[in-house]
Amino acid sequence: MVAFRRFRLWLRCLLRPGSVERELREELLLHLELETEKNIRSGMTPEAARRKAMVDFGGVERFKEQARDERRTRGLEDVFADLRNAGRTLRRSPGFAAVTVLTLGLGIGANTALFSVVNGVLLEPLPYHESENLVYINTYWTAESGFEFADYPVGSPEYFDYKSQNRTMEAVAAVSTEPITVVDGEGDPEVIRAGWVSPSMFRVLRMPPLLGRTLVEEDGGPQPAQVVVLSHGFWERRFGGDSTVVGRRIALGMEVSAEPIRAEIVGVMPPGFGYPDSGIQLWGPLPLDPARTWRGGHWFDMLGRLGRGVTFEEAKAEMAAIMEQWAVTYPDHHVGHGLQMRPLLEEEVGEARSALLLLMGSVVVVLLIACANVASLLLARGEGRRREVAVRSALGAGRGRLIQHVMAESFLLAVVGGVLGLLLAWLGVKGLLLLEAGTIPRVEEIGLDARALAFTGGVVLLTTLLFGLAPALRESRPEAAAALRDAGLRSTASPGRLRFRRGIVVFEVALSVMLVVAGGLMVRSFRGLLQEDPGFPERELLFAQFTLPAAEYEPEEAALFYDGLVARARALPGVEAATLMSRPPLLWEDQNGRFHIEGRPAAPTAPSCCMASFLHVGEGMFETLGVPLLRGRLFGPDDHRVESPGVAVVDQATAERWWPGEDPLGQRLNVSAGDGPWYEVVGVVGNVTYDGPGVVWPTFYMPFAQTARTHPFLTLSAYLVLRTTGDPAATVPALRQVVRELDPGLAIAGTFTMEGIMGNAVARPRFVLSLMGLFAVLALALADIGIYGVMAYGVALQRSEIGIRRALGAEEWEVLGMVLRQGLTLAGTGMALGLVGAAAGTRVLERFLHEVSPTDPLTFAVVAVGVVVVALLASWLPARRAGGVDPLEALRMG
Amino acid sequence: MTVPLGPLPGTLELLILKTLGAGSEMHGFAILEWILRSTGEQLLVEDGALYHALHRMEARGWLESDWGVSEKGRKAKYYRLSAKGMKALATEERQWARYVEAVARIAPRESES
Repeated sequence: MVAFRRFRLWLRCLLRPGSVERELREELLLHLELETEKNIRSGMTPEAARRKAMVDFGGVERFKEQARDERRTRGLEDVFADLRNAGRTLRRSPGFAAVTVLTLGLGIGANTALFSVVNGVLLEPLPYHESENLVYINTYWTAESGFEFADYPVGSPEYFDYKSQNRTMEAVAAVSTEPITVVDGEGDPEVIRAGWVSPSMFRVLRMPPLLGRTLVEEDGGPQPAQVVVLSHGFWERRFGGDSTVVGRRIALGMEVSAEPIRAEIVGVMPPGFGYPDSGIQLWGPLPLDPARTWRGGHWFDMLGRLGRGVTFEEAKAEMAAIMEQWAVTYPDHHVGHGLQMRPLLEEEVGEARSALLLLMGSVVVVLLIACANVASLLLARGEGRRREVAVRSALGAGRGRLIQHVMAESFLLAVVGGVLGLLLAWLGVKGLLLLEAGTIPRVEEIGLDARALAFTGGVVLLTTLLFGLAPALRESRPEAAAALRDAGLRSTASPGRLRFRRGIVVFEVALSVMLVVAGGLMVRSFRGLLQEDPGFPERELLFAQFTLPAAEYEPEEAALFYDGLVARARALPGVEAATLMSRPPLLWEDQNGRFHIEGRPAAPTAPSCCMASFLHVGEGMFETLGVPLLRGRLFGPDDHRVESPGVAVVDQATAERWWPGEDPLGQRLNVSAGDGPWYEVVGVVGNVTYDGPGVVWPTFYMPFAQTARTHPFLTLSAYLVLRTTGDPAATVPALRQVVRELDPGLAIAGTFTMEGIMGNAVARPRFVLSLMGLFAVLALALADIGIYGVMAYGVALQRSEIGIRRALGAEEWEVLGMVLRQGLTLAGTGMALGLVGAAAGTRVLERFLHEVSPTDPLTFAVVAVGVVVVALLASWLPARRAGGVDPLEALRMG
Repeated sequence: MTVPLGPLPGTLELLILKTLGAGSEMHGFAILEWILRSTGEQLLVEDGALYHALHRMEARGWLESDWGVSEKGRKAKYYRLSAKGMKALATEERQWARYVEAVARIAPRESES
């Protein structure tokens, strides 16, 4: 019965929070009225009667507080009341509310967005069954071998040996890719990328087909079956998703095979499947011959699945043991060269990992600053409430009730900040995906991550509640009521608390300085990258990629085609010069070339001695691109003939690296593992950065026509280079027309302007830079708010002191100076700590920096000046307020 | 002379129970007046304390309340004893008698000293 009555009251409090309170008031009002009337009857004036009634009652408000506690129905009624009250007080201080909510929102949003990306890319498992058991295998060449390649493809004897010798792998596969031309199906002829793989790849990845079958063991071998499996995207795009496609034949123009291939379509893969990447349109069996024992050729990568119960470390140890065995068995090949493995996820993520971890570190710093700011703001807020809390406490509110009352505001801030954070996180993920511009692998795995949101949201909200609670606990102590008396109208905080808040601000400034320094270094580095001279004028250049199907073009026909193409392209309006080259600058990295210099000893494990990239070029390539001749001569018309004596032009880097102190002119080299023709060096040209902005790698050039003798298939692929007078992209339609006239079945595999290529080459640094910059600005803004907050608060605290100073004759500018000095001291301390921290910590940046030292003095100086300016700005307003203190008023208040 | 109601636990509650014991319905002010009059204006009951006691007893189920209109046409909250309150009155009265008797043995009444 009692319980029910209580419950009914509680329910009423809950459903109609006002009604119980209203009844209480009415009951008291009636009482006071009756009491007043009685007093009047006994002869008092109405006013005195009322006053006496009030006094007799012993404090109406006190009674109400006690009555509220008496009901013991705090729970939701009070929570709602407190939230309403908190909302009202927050509306009355919109500055505080806005800054806190914004800080919370930015902290949560930035962290969640970036963590979602990191999670999707680095942590989310690959979309294969038990993908943690998948390993990627390729080869290494250490200095001991005479070459230094961290990552190099695998050769077929290595594949077969490892396959038969290992006991730790369930299955291994060989994977390579080839461009092929497709004419069948809907649409224009096009060049696509195909996966040329051992059939075991499908077993390793455990991926069943959508239609038909995948490749099976019988499809492989030295003379593989002419069968292909289509990707889902290719099947939909070119065959309209026709399920009768299985069993049909498709003509494939392959670069490496002189024979035309009419492959049978045996299956279609499900959507989302694409190995080694999502750009692969179909898969066919890679020819692999166990009888082939020459260990010099390397042309594919390997994939493996760990056997049941085998750990990665065990497999790795076994592989190392096998490599030791190989070094003994094949001393000519496997000293300093062998297989290596790493988890497939690591391989897929690659270099993006370090960039993402760097960004993650930065955003965590932002989170720390945000938390520090919120803490500082809430502590100040708590100080400001001391009187209010003391008053309520004196009026009889219980301690728990008081804490709840104070916490309501923190809670409200946390919720609104959290919602804003969620919104910003959602926008942030979208923004990041727009900004990444293809520099992040596995973007398809990225989505707003609930766990990330929960984590960062939790951290920030916890901070809010914690620092909301601290003042609440302190002020609600019973003795706090005494504060009411001694505090009176005077200052309401102790210097100790101000010191703590100053500490927080110094910490914030230090952290933000570190981020800003990092951002500044990135900016310097990026500017350097952009200004890096590629070695030729990069404007008004167009590259068009061609891959002639070997089935239709003999090498002589290919030469004829390209001759015609270049001649017609030259005649196009707006084209100044046209030529051919095998590889445009900056489009991809390739530092895997090896060559041999006549008279030099070979490397221990290979017939070649030296490393360099080599390019095949058409007539007038140096002139068209604008690469300067330094010594000797360029290729003349006579050199561009199959039968003319072999000649080569080397760049300055090659000359310096491989002929230090010698004259390369007249020296001879070959590129065909020792048995090919020799090429005489006839000239030295300037360096071109083929592998990336600012990356100089030894490179030499040979005429296309001469390549046909040793590597006829290489002449099928080439890039047409056009130097134009206007917008290079504008010549593309005319170029397509030219190609149609020459061969209606041929597709341009791709067109690139040099400026586009350069933009892509710096896309990742730009992505990292933009985010670092954003985080640095965010950090600085937050720290600025922090400085402002503590300065404004300090001034409010020192009002009486300032008043005394003014009364004693201090000028306005002296007071102004005093406050500014305090602000600068804070900022200066933080800055000094931050700069030391940055000098110690920016070493991690080294790999992201291009020709800028991590302790670049200019950057540090600029940041230092910037922070001083920012600190001055933040202190200016409080200083002005201090300067304007009226001595009389301040003294009175004190 | 008037003495403030002392710290004896349950004293005020007993007074309220007695006041409403005759089956009457009263609002807070009337209860207060009645106590004052019946004790010969000897006891000073604090107004706030009275309402606290009323609310406490209502929560305990000793009292029932209802909103009504006072003799002067004002909205007022009327209290009356519940069945449980009647039982409580009996218990409290017995306890009080024992208590007074016990104290009186040591501290004799004014008139007797």
